[in-house]
Parts: sequence; structure tokens; C-alpha cells
Amino acid sequence: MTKFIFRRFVSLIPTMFVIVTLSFFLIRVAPGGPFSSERHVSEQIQQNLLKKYHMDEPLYKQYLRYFGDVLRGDFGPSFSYKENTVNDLVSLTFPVSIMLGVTALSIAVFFGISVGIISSLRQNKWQDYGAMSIAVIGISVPLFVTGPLLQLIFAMKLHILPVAGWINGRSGILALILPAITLSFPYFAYIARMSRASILEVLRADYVRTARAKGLKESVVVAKHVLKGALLPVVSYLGPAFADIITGSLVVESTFAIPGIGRIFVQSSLNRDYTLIMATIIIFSLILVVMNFLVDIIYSFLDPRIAYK
Amino acid sequence: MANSINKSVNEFNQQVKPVSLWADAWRRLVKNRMALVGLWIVILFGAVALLAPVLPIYDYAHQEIMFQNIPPSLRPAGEVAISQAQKHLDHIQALIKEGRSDLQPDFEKATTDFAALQQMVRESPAANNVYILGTDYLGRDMLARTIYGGRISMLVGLVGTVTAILLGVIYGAIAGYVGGRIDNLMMRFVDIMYGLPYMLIVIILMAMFNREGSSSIVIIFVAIALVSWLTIARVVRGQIISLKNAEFIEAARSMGASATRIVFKYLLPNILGVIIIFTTLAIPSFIMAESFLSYLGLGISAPLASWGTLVADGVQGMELYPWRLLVPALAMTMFLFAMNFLGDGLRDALDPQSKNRA
Amino acid sequence: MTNEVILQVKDLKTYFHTDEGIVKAVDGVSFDLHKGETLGIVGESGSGKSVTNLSIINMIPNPPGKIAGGEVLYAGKDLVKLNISELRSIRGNKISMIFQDPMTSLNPYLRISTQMIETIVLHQKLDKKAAKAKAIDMLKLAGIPAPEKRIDQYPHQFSGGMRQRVMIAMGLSCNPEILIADEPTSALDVTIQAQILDLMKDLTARLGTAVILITHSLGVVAGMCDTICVMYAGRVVERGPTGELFAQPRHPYTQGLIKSVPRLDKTSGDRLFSIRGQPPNVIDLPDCCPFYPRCDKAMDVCKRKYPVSKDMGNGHAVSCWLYTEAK
Repeated sequence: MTKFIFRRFVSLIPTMFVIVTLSFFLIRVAPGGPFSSERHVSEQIQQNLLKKYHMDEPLYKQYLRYFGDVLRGDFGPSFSYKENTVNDLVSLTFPVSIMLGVTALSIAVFFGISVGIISSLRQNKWQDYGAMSIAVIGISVPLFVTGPLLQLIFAMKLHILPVAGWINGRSGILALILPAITLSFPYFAYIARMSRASILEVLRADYVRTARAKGLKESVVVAKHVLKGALLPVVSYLGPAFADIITGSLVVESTFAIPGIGRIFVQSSLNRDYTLIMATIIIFSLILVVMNFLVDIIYSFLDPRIAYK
Repeated sequence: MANSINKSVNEFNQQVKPVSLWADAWRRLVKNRMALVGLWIVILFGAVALLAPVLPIYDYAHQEIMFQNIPPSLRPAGEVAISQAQKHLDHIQALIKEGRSDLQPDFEKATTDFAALQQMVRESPAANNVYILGTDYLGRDMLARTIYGGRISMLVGLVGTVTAILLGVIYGAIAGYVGGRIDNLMMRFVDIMYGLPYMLIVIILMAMFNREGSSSIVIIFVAIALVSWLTIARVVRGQIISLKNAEFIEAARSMGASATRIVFKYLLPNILGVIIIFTTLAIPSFIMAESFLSYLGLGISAPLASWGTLVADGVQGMELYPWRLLVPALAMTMFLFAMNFLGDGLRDALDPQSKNRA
Repeated sequence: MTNEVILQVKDLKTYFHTDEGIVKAVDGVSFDLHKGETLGIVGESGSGKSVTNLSIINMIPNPPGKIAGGEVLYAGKDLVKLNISELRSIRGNKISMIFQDPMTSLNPYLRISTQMIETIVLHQKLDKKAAKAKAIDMLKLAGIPAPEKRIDQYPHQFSGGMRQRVMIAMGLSCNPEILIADEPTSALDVTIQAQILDLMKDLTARLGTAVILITHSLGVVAGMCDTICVMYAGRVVERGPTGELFAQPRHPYTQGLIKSVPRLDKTSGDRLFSIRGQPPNVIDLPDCCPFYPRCDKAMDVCKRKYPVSKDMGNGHAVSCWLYTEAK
């Protein structure tokens, strides 16, 4: 078992390597440089700037230099926020985004599975139709519509929740509610639909028929025999879901003025702030890759057939 | 040897017509009401989008500054503008009556503006236009913009999906059919690509290459398709592998079927189902992705519009001019709804083992 | 086998309401089961044998299926009309059912111990430890080596034959009066089949369990069963003691079945016999003898009415117009 975990862990390394390399060269390939949108500076100053940031060196040398820095945990200076290093910016904003993402995903998983269970057990009755209609709304309406709508209803009209801001502001923990709900909605919808479909399929399985033939109560059949197998696809989904949620948080952060990494990410792309962009990609990829790894491990614990492959 | 294979009715007067996979799937689809509604809506939207240039609607790029932010109405724009201004005037007057005497200068200004407006309306030919769904902040017809926005959005969805499918099917088919080390290598590549936070890459690409407006559509297609082909490649590869070793393929081979025949008559139809299902899921997700980009300002640039940009614009004036958000948002939501229901229906209909019927 | 009747199935009808019409999967099936008897139900795919047995413990999926008529009398009660909690106290306990494919019939995510203990704890009110000990005993009886260790394993760690032994052990763990076995050996290799059948014969004899064995194989029933029911298109066309049925099959279908079995003592060069035609589609089947299109001895009355059952003596009954006066 530990060998299995170790092997999976080791395979993360080439993935990260490719990601870093790919991103580095991709970004450098784009037209324009980090200083091209500045106010017109003289040729001399431009050259000095480039030299300061080692950008006059050949590309591969820059790459190696960068790689070395990253391994030491230094992401370099930010090109657009001149007073801060990337490390500063990242350490301030990343935890915010992560917290938002994790909260949203937890909401999505909890409610998604619950709704999925109820829907599947009351198939084709009103609970099912109601829940699944809400779920379809969740995957059809974009986040930047539901966000402002929720703001309109709960903050501006009903005044029970703050319009924007984060928990370090006036409203404290209340400020987390609307953005987390907004962000969780599409994933809740997807998980609800997925668990419903999966449970329905397992309910038709032979081993569920055996369980019923043994005289077990339906609630026991569902809780003990059906759920374990049926929810495995949901576990698998968590990896890609987390990836998506990160991108979703970009929109939600801008709607609710949340000081996360999302808000500065788009700007930094437009400004060609190489170091900031690279740092974002690397950290997000790392998180993603680690999440996928964790999900795989959890899955192998839940499905007894896997570890023995 | 009396055998009822060729008769359509057997000795018990029962129907014994053989049914092909597609006919059976169609029948099942048609029985699913929601999927059928979805299909009609998709066809309707598609038809309107295709026929947009010949439909009797206003030009989507034409601005009538005088008639900015007109709410939806069946009355001519001139009337509507005047009644809006009138309401505004009355509102200020009421406030003044309640004691807000500081608003008196505003009232005077509003009255002068009102008179000017009445004059302009009398002289303007555009005052007779009827903006059924209202106008936006530049006086452009929401109906036309939503329709043309739909054209772009649906185009993005379609082209992106087709690109992803072409890439994915070829890649996956090769990997699956050839197998062995090449397959391993190809799939490792896919695994690594999967680890990339692709939306971030897309955003970066869009931001980087976004200087020239007209090429932005192509970039969007490319960017979005570039990451979605992974899913379909994996799925196709899986299908090919399981089919490759299926007994009915072996049987066909043992009867002397050539490789081409096997590919076209046996393998492809089985993949087609998966591809169709992927399409109905991919198109909505591409449209969503494009709308995301547009919201972040990285999507289609003006004067072209997509549902995404329209909604992004609409969010700005949400409180005062709700139709600017609601019209494109509803259109987009309806279309995605329809595609999702259709996709669900197709999945149920094409799954030969689905006993999931009431 | 004694003369005491423990189960009476009377004119059982189970219909499925589908979009294409009403599928009369079981259309008037009757038979009796005696204490300790092994009854075989033989028929082709689609003849209604599995549905009959699912109907006995009322496990027909409710849409679209429904028991449309008849009675299943057991222990003084009609199982068709019984409420669900009483039914559950019978299932797995007094009447136990095991299924065809042991790979899919056992929950792959739970240990064997979990799956066996839950039945014993539920019906026999033992605590977990005692239940586990009993389960280990049953596994031992079923011929699983090192049962104390293997009971904590998962189904995929057993071979096909072993899994079926586990199923049998599980089915018999509460010492039921009746064991219903739905094609227990069809998914297994031929050599294992023989082992499993011997095991079943041995255990049920020891425990005094009556068995309803469903199969499409005449060879299996010949070796295992005291009585045989032959089913076709949802009805029992012939019923009788094994020896008698094989020696003197009355119904043309039964005769055809027996004739179809390849024999080692026939001279080579003869064509293998098969009954011509296809089994009917049981959707909206009209009231006639469903076998008539394939029957050489079909008469005019066969097309118009289903034959009444005639008792030929010695527990042998047949439903065929050849033996009954048509009115």
C-alpha cells in the first residue's frame, strides 16, 4: 500500500517539471514585454531595467536561473507592483482564495450529495424534479450572473448580508457567505446530478438485489450497500472540481471585492508580469496536482479492488 | 421452416419489426418530454441565429444615443423616452413637495432637458423605432444584440467542440488502436496536460494575444479547444480499447471483414454515441467558458458581442436597467438549459443498457 | 422429501406494464412445494422462471412490474398480500434466495464477514461475535478452506466457484425452510458446476431445506431434483416427479426438450434435434397455447384457448389439449 502511495507521489515530479517549463516558455513567447506598456521611458532606462531583471540574457539561461530560484522558494520581484516581491503578494492573497475555494467546495459536496440522495430515492417525484431543476439552473447560469443577483437580493434589497468585502473587514465571517454560496452553486449542481445518476445505477445492481433478498430494511440497504459504491465517482470528481473552482474564484473575487489571488491575476496577465503569472501557475498547479494525488489515494482506500491492481 | 424474421407480424399478430440502434434511440428520445422541449429550443435558437441577417431586426451595432437605456416596450421609442423623462420629473417634484427644496435647481434642469427631449423626439426619425427588448447604454437594440450575441456564442460553442472532437478523436483512436508504448506515452502526455489549471492558461493566452480585435475569436476557439480535447481523447481511447477486444469485432474479423470495414461499420458507430453525448455537454461548457473570458474583459471585443459580453455589460447597470442583464442572461440560460436537457435525454436514449425508465 | 406442503403457489400472475404493452411474464403458474423437496423449474430464457421466483418473495421492481393475481401461501399466510416488514422477516430467514452471477451478486466494497454477519444478526438476533462464529461455521460447511481468515476478505479475492460457495453459505446461514436458487451454476465452469451442485445437494439434505432450483439445463435437474416444472411463455406446461417426467414426457414441448439433449449412445451421422421456431414475444400475448406455432401436434383449439391442466396421476400434470377434452 505504501509502495503504491510512494509511486504515485513520485510521478508528481515530472508533471510539475513539465508544467513549470511549459508555462515559462509559453509566457515568454507572447508578444510584448513587462515594460512595454509603461510610460515611455528612454532607451537607456529600458536597457537598465532589462539588465536588472536579467532579461537581456538568452532565454535558456533565464530559465535555468528561474528554476533555481523557484526551487529555493523565491519567486522573484513583481513587475507590476514594484514595491512587493511576488512572495509577499502571493502569501497575502493565496490563503484567501484557498479559503474561499475550500469553503465553496465543502458546501457543494455536502449539499450536492444530500440532494443527490434525496432525488434518487424519490425518483420522478416532486422532490426529484424540483432538485434537478435547481441543479440544471446551477450549471446553466454563469457565476457572474448569480453573484450579482445574490448581491442584489440579499445585500441591497434585504440588507441581511454584506455586499462585498472579506472577513478581515467590518462584517467578519458574514462576508464569506454570499461569495462561497455563489462559487459553490455550479459544483453543487454537478455533484447533485452525478450522485443521483450514480445512486440510481447502483440501485439496479445485482448486489443490491441480494441485500434486499436477505430481508434488510431499505434504509440499511441504501446506507450500507448503495452509498459506498455510488459515491466513488464523486470522490474522483473532486480533483477536477478543485481545479475549476480556482478559476471560478477569479470571477467571484472580482464581484465581491475579495482580496484573493484572482483579482491580481488577470491584471498581471495583461501587464505581462511574468514572475507573478509564473508563481500563480506554479502554485495552482501544485495544489491541483496534490489534490488529484490525494483524491486518488482516498479513492484507493474506498475501493478495495484498486490497491491490489 | 416457417420463421418470422422477414414478416412484420408473427403468428400471434404481434409486431416483430427489427429496430436499428438509431431508430430505437430516437424513439426513446422522443418519449422524453424535457429532452424534446430542449431539442425544439435548440433548433429554434439555431434557426434564428442562422437567419439573423435576413430577419427584420435593427442593426446590432447602430447606436441611437438619444434612446439609451430604454426599457422593453411595444410603444415607439420616442414615447417611451418621453414617459421615462416624465417619470423622472415627477419623482423630483414629489421629493421637493416633501421638503427637499435643495433639489429645485435639479428640477429646473430636468424640465429644460425634458423640453429639449421632446423637441429632439419630434425631429428624430428613430423615435418611431420599437425596441421590444429595450436598448443598452449606447442606444443599441437589445433584441438584435442578443440575437447576434447568440450567433457568436453558439459559433464559439460549435467550432470549439468540433475542434476538440477532431483533435480528441484522432488522438484517442490512434492511442487506443495502436496500444503498447505509444499509447502509454500519449496518455502520459494527456495526464500531464490534465494537471495544468487550464483556465488559467486560457486567460493568459487571451491576455497575451489580445491586442488585435478581429483575431480574438479565433484565439478563443483555439484556447478553449486546446484544453477540452483531452477529455474526449481519453473517452475515445477507452471506447476503442474496449471495442478492439470485443467479441463481435473478433467475430467480424473471423468472417473476413477488412480493417476499413471494421473501422467504419463497427467501431465508428459505437464511438458516435459517445461523441454525440460529449458534444451536447461540450457546447454549453464552451459557451460558459467564453462568457467567463468576456466577463474578465478578455473575450470578444466590441462592436461584436457575445452573450458573455452582453451579460457582463448588463451586470453594470443591474439595479437601474435590469433588462440589460436579464435579456441576454435569460437567452443564454434558456439555451444552456435546453442543451443540458437534450444532452441528458440523448445519454439515456443512446445507452443500450439503460433501464432507467419509470 | 415428505408429504407436508410448505409452499403453495396458486395461479400466480405477474405483469409488467411497459410502453410497448403488457408483458405477461408469469401468467397463471401453480405448483406445490413439500418439506425437504428439491423442485426444479426448467425453461428457456424469457419463460418466466426467474420472475416466478422473485414473485414468491415479492421482489418485483415496482414500476413497471406488479403481481397481478394469484396467491403464494406459506406458513398460513399469503405472501402476495403480506406487508413489507413481515415480508422482510421472511426474506433471508425462512425463504432465502441466491442468484446467478456471484461476482455481481456480492457487494464488492464490503467484506464477506460484513455481508454474512448482517443477515445473521438481523434474523437470529445474535451479537456480532456469535454471528461471526456462525458465519465461519457455514463457510466451513460450504467447503471454503481457512474460513477464519478468508471471511475478512473481499469478494474479488475469491474465485468464481468459491464466491458461489460463499453465496450458498450466506443463503443457508439462517437455516431457511426454502432456498431459491436462480441458475446458481450457469456462470461457472462445468467442473465447478458439478462441485457446487453436489455441495447444494449435501447441505440442503443435511439441513432439511427445500430447494427451488431454476435452470435451463435438463442435465442439472435430472441429477438434483425430485420434481420438475417445465415453463414456457410464462406458464407451467408440465409438472411431475423427475423419473416419471423423463420416462414419459407428455407435453410436446417437454418431449422436444428431452429430444434436443445430445446423447452419447446415438449413432453419429444423425442431425441434432432442435425444436423449430422461436419462443414468442410475451407482450400482449393472446389467449391460446403459446407453443402452438412450434408444435407438430397442434390442433385448431390450441389457437383459441389455453389448455386446462390435467392431472395424469402420481403428481404428474400437463396442460395440453391432447389430453383434455376441449369444450
